[in-house]
Amino acid sequence: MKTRPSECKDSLLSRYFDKTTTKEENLWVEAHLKTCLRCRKMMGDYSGLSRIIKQRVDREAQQADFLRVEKNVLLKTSNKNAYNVSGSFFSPRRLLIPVAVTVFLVAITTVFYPFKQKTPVSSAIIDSFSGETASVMIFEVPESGQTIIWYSENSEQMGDDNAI
Amino acid sequence: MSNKIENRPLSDKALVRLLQQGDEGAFQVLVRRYQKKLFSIAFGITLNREESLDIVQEVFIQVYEKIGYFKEKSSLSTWLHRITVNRCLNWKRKWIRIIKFHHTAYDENKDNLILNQDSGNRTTDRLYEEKVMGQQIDAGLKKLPEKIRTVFILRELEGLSYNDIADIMRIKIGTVKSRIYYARQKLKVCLKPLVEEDRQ
Repeated sequence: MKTRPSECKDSLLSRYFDKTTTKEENLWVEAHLKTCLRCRKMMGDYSGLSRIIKQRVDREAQQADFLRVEKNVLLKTSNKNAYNVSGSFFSPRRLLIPVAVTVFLVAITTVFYPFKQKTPVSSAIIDSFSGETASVMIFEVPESGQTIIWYSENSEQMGDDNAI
Repeated sequence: MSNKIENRPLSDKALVRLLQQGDEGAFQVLVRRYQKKLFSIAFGITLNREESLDIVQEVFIQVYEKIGYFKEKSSLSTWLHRITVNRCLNWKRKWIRIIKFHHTAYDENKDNLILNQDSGNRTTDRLYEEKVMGQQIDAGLKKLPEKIRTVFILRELEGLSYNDIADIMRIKIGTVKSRIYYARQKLKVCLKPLVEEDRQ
């Protein structure tokens, strides 16, 4: 089994091959390559790999029917509407969700909201008393059968808070 | 309008603007400009010509539909590469690919047909050699995990920078470096006879 010399930096060599090393790293690798046959061979292997894979894919690309792809794509897209920036807001797909939500809300409201609005309930004053310090009024609501007693002090702060 | 577009070189940015305006001619320019590049990436990942052509077709249709949403946070080519890679690595496709790997007869027959058609131009021996070599390379590439192969292909075929690859794959640059290194070490062993032959 071959062992690599301790000074060889294989991953650095891979980055050097991709030209992504720093200036200092370049200097180190270039100096190292002058003396290391193993790393020179590895650089040759990387180039060879790159070449044969490119050739492999190029060969497939030469046999691929791109004209058919172009025709199919243009045919399929000609039947569709492009969602351009100006028209995108009104595109059918964008409107679908808001419309569905609106329909849902309308349906829910229709089912649960009572149709008959309650009209304000009329009340009648049964009796009233007025004195020097306070007044009392008695109301009756015929529909609900409630009796309201309104007590009011004759002061400056008289208001709704005094209702019993 | 399309003829005018075809006759002048358009930058990708200008092309995007025309595409967003719904220009059909611009779309044709886009297809012609990128179909071979995207095919190379797709083939490098799937190792299947017909499937790669299907993927390229789907990518362009998706681009046509989504171009209005493209905000140019990345370049057009990065966006196209990302869509292509995602399509290739899509789990549904993965399953189709696994099934197809067990039915290689169709592709082999097709290659034989092409071999016979082309024999007038090139010698049969040479074509046979190319075919065997192609199979060996494919076998070597198949030994790499798909995500490692994808990173390697983006680097080798498209010459993309580590940053761009990290952006497309949504991984760290350190991961890109290690995947490329791993792929090279592995392929160097798997494809040793071919590499040696290439050197001679």
